Amino acid sequence: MSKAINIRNLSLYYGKAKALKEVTLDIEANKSTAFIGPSGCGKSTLLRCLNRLNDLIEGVKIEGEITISGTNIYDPSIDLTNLRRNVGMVFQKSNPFPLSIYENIAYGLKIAGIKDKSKLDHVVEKSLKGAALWDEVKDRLNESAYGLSGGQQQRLCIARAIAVEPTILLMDEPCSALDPIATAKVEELIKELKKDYTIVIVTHNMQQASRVSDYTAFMFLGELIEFDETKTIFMNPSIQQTNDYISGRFG
Amino acid sequence: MTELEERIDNIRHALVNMASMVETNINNSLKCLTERNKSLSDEIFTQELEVNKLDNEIDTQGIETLALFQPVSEDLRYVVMAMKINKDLERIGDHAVGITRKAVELLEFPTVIEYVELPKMAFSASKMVSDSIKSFISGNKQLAIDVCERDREIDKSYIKISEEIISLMKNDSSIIDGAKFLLLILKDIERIGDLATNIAEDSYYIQTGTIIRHGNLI
Ligand SMILES: Nc1ncnc2c1ncn2[C@@H]1O[C@H](COP(=O)(O)OP(=O)(O)O)[C@@H](O)[C@H]1O
Ligand SMILES: [Mg+2]
Repeated sequence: MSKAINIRNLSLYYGKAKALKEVTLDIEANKSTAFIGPSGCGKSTLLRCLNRLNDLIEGVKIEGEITISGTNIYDPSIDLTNLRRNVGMVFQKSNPFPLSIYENIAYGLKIAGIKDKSKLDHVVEKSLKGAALWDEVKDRLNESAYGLSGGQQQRLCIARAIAVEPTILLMDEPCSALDPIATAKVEELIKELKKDYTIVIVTHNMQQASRVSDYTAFMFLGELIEFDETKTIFMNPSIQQTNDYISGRFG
Repeated sequence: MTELEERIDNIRHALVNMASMVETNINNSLKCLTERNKSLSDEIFTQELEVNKLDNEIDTQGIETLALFQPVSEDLRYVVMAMKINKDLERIGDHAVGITRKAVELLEFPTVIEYVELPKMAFSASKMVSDSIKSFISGNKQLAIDVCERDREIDKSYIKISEEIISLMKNDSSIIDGAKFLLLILKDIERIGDLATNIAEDSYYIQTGTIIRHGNLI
């Protein structure tokens, strides 16, 4: 089994506060892995470590190691632009650019130096299809992205993330602002996407974790408490604390 | 207590209630048989109606709990297994009624065989039912395994006693009409042992997440 991401003894401090405590975890390629746990336990922090978004925060100190396809991403020689292209991110609140639907996707490609119109057209279409949005927007590509519904905007952000052909997609509570139907569409999309990408998703919705993920990591107070196949976590976890949390009797 | 815990508690109570009615019915049906007395049969039939009501009620509660609370882990195992245990208890109740009806029929015939082995077997089957329920209520894994092991003895007795009855029938064909009811009762008792074993296996599964059905593990 190929492991896309290896996290070894990872600790992270916000100033003096230790937000991640010696986390060790292997994430498998072309599977979806969910991080669950109570609010503030460090899910987003851990996720952001995977494309070094925490580097932008002042006072952050990181110990330990993360390797992606064998490369230590905290090595000083790493090109951050490349890393973040390879490890795409979708946030909780959809954040399309104030541009047309087409330009939202073409923007990143243009920055990457692609100018050829037919190449751009091709990638825009492919990405929108990949995000299961093409049929809904193909006749209005030049309209503002702000005219889309919340669920469509979120899928547009997914399309934008996959346009630059990453291998890993990080999602931080991607459905928490969506209604149940839009949520179901994104969840279906996640199942499709993992054929081509390794998905890591943070969710506070336990049913969502059990529906979309192959593996689940349960975190508490910055520690990884239990990591296993999702079906094991939800049918017969080894650790009482995991059982109590997923059963909603966290005390 | 969370509402989910409350619902699970209600299901547990309903099952305990049902189990005690079923146990009473088995024991009364055996009394009808061994004492050759049908005075308890009406009570048994009335109790059976209550058991059927509880069967419906537990199924409804279980499905509702799954739909509204999406339990996971031990809670999930508990609710799903409670619904299976419910079914097995209901079937055990049917066998008790079956024994009663046949015991009443048997009153028309002279005693076929001295009841020595058969009541022994019947009472161990009935004990298996109460122990399997005890294991379910108290979470006693060892007791569950114990019940499963005792089923082998029941199966042995079944073969031994039925062979005895059949050879009596061969020697004296005048007893066939009565003896056939006895064979059917024997089958009821053997099935009660099987169903109690199912309950014990389900109780073991709730506690461990391991399936020991069909000879796995033990
Ligand atoms: N930028 C930050 N500066 C300081 N502390 C932070 C920052 N971001 C998160 N934290 C703290 O780190 C801990 C983990 O936060 P987070 O990773 O957002 O948790 P989760 O995503 O599980 O809700 C919390 O105690 C939070 O207050
Ligand atoms: Mg978060």
